[in-house]
Amino acid sequence: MRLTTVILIATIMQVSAAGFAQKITLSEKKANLKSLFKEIRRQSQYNFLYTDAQLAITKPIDIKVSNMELKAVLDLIFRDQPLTYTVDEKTVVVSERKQSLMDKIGEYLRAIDLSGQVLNEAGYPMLGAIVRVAGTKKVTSTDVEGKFFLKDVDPQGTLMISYVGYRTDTIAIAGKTRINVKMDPQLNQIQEVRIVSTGYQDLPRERATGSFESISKVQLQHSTDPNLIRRLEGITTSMDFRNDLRPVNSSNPNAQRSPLVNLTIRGKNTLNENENADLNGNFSGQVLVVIDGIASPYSIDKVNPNDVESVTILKDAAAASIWGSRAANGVIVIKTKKGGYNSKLRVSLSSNLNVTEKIDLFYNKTMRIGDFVEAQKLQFLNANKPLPAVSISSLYGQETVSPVAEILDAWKFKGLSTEQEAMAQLEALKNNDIRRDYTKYFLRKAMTQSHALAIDGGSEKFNYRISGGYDKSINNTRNSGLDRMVLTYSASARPVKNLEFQGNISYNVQNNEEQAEENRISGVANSTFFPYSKLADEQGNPLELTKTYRPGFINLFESTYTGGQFLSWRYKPLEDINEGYNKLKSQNLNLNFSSTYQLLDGLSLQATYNYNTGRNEDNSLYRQNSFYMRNRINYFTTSLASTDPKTGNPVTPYVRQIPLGGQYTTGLTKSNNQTLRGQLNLNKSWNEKHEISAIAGMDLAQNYSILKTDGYYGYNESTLRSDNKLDYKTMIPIIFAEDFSGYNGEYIENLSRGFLDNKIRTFSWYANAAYTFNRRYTLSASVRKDLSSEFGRGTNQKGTPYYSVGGSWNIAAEPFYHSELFPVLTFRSTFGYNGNVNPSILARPLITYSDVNGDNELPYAYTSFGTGISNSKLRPEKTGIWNIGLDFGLKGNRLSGSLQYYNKKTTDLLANGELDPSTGYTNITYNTGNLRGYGIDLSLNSLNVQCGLFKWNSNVLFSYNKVKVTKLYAATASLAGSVVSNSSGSYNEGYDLSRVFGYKWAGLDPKTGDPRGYLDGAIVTIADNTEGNAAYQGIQNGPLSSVKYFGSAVPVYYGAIRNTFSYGNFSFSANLMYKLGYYFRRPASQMVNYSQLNNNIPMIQGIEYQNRWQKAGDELHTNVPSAIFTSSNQNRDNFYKYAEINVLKGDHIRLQELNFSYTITPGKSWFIKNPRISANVNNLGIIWKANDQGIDPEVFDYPNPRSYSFGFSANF
Amino acid sequence: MLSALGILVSSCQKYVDIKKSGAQSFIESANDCQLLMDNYELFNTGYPIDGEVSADDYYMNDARFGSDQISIEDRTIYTWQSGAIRTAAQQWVDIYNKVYHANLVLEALQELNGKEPPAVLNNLRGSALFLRAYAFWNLAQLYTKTYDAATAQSDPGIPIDLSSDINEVPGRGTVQETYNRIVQDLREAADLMNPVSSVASRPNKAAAQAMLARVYLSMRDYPNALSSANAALTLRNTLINFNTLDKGSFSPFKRFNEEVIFHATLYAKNGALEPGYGYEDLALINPELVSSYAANDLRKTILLKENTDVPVPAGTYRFTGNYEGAVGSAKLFNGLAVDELYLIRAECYARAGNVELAMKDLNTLLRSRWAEGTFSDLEATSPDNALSTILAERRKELLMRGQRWTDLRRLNKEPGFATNLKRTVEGITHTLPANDLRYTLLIPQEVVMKSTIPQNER
Repeated sequence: MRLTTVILIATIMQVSAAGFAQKITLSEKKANLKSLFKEIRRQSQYNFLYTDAQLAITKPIDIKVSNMELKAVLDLIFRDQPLTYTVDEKTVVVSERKQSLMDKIGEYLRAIDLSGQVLNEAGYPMLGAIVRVAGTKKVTSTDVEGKFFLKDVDPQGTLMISYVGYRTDTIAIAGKTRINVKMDPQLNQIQEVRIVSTGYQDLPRERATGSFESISKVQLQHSTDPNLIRRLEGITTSMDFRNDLRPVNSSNPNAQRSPLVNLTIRGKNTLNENENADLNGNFSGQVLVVIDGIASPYSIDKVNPNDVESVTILKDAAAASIWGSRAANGVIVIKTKKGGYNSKLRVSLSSNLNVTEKIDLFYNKTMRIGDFVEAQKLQFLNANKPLPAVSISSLYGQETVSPVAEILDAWKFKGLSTEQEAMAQLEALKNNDIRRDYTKYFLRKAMTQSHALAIDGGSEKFNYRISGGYDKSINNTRNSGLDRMVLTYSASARPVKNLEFQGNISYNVQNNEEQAEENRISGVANSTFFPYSKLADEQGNPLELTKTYRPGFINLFESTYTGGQFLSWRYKPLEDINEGYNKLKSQNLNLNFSSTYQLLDGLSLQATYNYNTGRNEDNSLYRQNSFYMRNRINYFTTSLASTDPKTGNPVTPYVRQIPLGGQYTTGLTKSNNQTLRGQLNLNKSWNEKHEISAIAGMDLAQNYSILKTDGYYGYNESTLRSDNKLDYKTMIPIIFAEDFSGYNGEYIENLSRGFLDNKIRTFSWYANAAYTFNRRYTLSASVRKDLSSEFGRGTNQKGTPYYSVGGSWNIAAEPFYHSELFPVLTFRSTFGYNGNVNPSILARPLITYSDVNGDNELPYAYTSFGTGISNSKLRPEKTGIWNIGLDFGLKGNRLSGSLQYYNKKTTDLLANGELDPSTGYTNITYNTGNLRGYGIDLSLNSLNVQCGLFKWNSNVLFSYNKVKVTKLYAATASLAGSVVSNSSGSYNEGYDLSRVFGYKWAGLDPKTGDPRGYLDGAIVTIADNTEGNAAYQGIQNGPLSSVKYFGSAVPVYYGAIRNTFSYGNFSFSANLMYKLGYYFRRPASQMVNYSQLNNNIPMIQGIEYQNRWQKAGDELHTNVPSAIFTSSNQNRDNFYKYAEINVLKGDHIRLQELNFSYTITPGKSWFIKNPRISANVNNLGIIWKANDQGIDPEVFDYPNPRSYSFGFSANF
Repeated sequence: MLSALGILVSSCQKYVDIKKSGAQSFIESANDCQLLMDNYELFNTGYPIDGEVSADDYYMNDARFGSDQISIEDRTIYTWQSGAIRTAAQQWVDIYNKVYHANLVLEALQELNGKEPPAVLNNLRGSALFLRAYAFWNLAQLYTKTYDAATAQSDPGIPIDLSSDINEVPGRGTVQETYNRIVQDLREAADLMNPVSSVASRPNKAAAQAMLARVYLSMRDYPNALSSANAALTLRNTLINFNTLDKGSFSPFKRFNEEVIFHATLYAKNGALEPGYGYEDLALINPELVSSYAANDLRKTILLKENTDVPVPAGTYRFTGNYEGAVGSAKLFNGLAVDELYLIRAECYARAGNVELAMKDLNTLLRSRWAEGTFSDLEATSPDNALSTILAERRKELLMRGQRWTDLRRLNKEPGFATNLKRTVEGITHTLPANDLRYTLLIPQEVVMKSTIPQNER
């Protein structure tokens, strides 16, 4: 047979042979073989491999069979032909009929040995690709470098290379002894990434027993967010981002918070109090991030998503336990892109623009400004208490009070205005609204542009990739922005046989600019900004507000000291934000070098060294013109009222003890992280039935960082001069005879704070092995032990190894399995332990040396919460996870997916728990109890419609997760008061870890409008008096049964549904995200809280204020308690806030994003390849919610504004 | 091969056995112990305040009582309601936090034996014992019955926690056990410590003796109180001459002034005791007490100021004699000072029948308090007469110093000095008869909830 050309007729299904039992029905006269083959393929899904030359010598036949076995039909067809056939998997390979024995012997003598390499479309080696000689039993799979070797092959045979998710490639051997193959991914494939990475090794999905989720670079394209973590949202199962939508104002420090902080994978396992809590006061431990095999050498926020090849999420013990004591909260493994051997130079480019709308400050409906003014007026007149007289020597009573109080005081007590004038002034205030001014003059649309360029290529022995990315953002407040640049170069070389070097260098620099902290207009309710304050006049000219001191004080001060001895105390917020800055500049350099040496066939030794150095500068400037600086200089200037703080004698007036000029502070953090790893890799298969892949290694790491803080007074930006020769050690007389706390002197703050360092070392060893028999059964096991300085000195011996075992069974490969419905079916199960290190908890107390002296002017040391406790019974926390999973694919790939169930048991949970106060603490972090978490992860991919060029795909992600407290070690169970407020350390056996309770509500008191609850079954009124106090205390101390239990405070069911519609090169997708089965408390900003209305700095109340109880009978149609304008007592407010009526169902569905993309089909001669344009709209808002009060359960104060982005990408 | 692996593993254990940070350490040296005890916020502030809130040196007018500055809890405690109780453990747990840290130091010092000079270690051990005893005694004044030799063996005390380990929590024990431990620790401390210290925030031998005198007095063990006061006065006996002070000042005393032997203050945040900023309603001084000062007694102008600002009623007085130094601070000084020692010794002499020495001590004190040249020595006709004069002066001198509640409790045991307290608020008169159960406050709710210790009787 002379097979010279192979024609691949159709897409070949990547399924294992499911026997040979298809039934065929044919009825043809004078049919040629080609048409018969087509018909059989249609009926059986079997493919035919032949050449036109072969068919040219055949003769047409008559055939009439009904429901006949395929084999019998084929025998019939080939009976009288000069051809014969063999069946290989689901392919019928046609060959010429051998005529003589001599031919066969001759062929055997000509047999050759064949080797080669299989690469994917990007030029990466493909591990586990199946290489077989068509029509024979010669078969092998590729090793980790994608290489294969076959002995005694017919030089005229055909090679078939298959890999799930890729188009099967068929190549004529044609006498060659070395064949390199580049595989093409199957279009519209469902699972693109079939290699999973644990960070230590890459495994073919088929041979991994654990629960991995892989995200490819293609999937990451759904969003243009410059933050990688945010791009994972909506395309991954079991990850809850719990983005409580708080950090919207870029001048709010929370805005800088990494989205990693609130992320959980399969619910909470461990609690870490160090991080910020979510809306319901829940904390979670952080997910471990691994970048190119190294645990978090730098923040995930610094990764350029365009450089990411794949992301693997490790969920169960078999997947994650290789990361030992840091794996309990799940692991995210990021692989960056590399060049490929033997690939042509390629340039890829992408560019995006993202615009985000202004924050909607009016989202929260509040009481009318007029009502607010009226409430304040009522409160002031009720109290009937004059404001203190204006004084410039003693500061008592000179701090800012509300303008309403000033107006009323001037009329009522000081006689400076008439009632009519005062009322007119109040009326004028009612027309203002600071949110309007804030929106107009301070907020703006945020804009981000991102550009990325990469070049890659490679020869036989060398490959490389160079990439650069640049992002620039204008944040949503004035004078605030961010830019980021990432440069990466990676290269691999194979200088000699069996040896490969890989190197990677990446540099990134990020600049943040913000208003200086004290200059920020950070809120709309503090002692400077009242709801009716105005930032600018009608023409937009900045207006003055009072900050720190009352206006009368400033006027008196100016009229007393007319000689210019002092700087002005006037404050115009819109000008002040320009009088300084806070700039963060972080630079990071990462070097990674690794070498792999092939010791023996299948056994290689790998050494990796990673060096990472970072430099973060945090620089703040206050110019002399800022209010902050003027106040500081004035404060330390002597006046006629100043006296020597020691002797009380008068001092020379008008001496400035802080020089004129600005104040510049600089904090420099240098970090230095190193990891050294040695690892043995074993990948071997033999007898076509046994495959083993194993690793064993050791890992040494050190992380070190040191912070140095310096500051300068009298700083001049242009001359860079400063004056720091000040006396920090003696009490300096201040401008006032007495300050707010009664002192007449103060120390000048020494801005240079010296050094603070932190060093962590770890040593780990680990091993992992997987054995596969007959491509059906896989067993895996892993073990790891960590020694870390984090556990504290002298405690390392106690560490226990973490291990996992697992197995998988490829049911579809079994000869007995014949399912046409589910041609793909794999079952897997694993068990193992993951650990969690909580470095803030030690058994032996640690002390911290203070960096400033105490009131006794002595240096001192203190213990901190957590690290300062002596707890002889502290035990390490452990999480055992059992996971079972099923991967399935429906006939024709119409539907595929995976279903997993897991059950986790955390013993000796380290969490904040209640403690006998006679120990010196009311609650600390210790082994508080055991948890059980369980859940289901389901992902489904379906092809709903395929009709010509039109296609409709759906991806459904679904997670179910519950975490319950199964055992509590604390002596007492939490009572009503602490469980409703979820105060730290309150848990209850048998309940969800995060849950919502509410006080039982008995309506409003018909006489007073006070809230009422139940105490021992009887209705009690929580009035603002001693009886009310006793009632409230009684309710707080009530048993758990006295409060209403709602359920989980975190979503129990959550996921996303993405529908993609494509027509030719157009593609459109919409992503819905849903969170179900949980409860939340109405945001505090929407509830009335009268004690806050009556504060010195009153807070505006929710719109329900207008619906409050005002007269008898109102209780029939409202639950909003009556207003009281006298008390700071919070009992009524708190009882109302935590009452059952304010707990709502949190279930909702959100339209998260819409994507549109168009791939231009380039002409053959085009220089440009696969250009793609895309557009994306994000945060479209909630489309369904279970609560009927119009509240988005995830919004704390303002919803995340909608954003639009446009992108372009192409290769050259 | 195996031994090579063994060496590798042990060297790796060494590799990870490092200090986390230059700013952090385990307690590993005498200096660390000293630094822990120099934590001013911890050991020199935050002593429980409810004794002073309940006592009768001050009162609130109705405006103040009804204002939102006064919490409902404070109102119930101020009016001695039978169910008056704190919800939060604050005043309890703050004391045990001090005890915890003192225990940490004591445990660390055990390990340091032989590694540092014994003199240094002894002084540190004495300091830790003193601080622990000082904390225990202050708590006992609120939550245990007055020490009475007859019933102390059965009256419930406070948990005497002698180990830092949070897993070891003792029960209440008895009042006798509580006081035994306080006395034992202070005696040992007095033997171990240096006679004086460089700064009044650090304890010393004089402080230990002075505290013993105060403790014995509260136990009505007058002979021991006398000898301790004697021992303390030989080390420290300087009194401030009030003529040298600024009479117009609202904070005439400096923190760590020359009378202070050990500086400590009460928990700061309490509206009832707030002396107030210039214009606010505030704690007013008991008019009976105000009128008891003689015209030439400088204490009337130094320790007190008449209110002149609206809306505080004219003719009322506020307290300005805080040894803490800050104006308007509710962080009242309750530490040990020389003036208190003179008063203790004078009282003990009087009780022992030694009128001459008793009056000598009293006159020494008063001479420094009166206007220059106006004071002529007081005389007493009998020991009883001396005693009542001394007790009257004690009230005038130790005004708002955190001692009145203890004095009320112990003097109630003597029919001649027993007091029935009375307060009229918003037209209602509240009374607290001598030796009432309410002289022992209820243990905060949170403490009872989170532990197994029994509540006090009502």
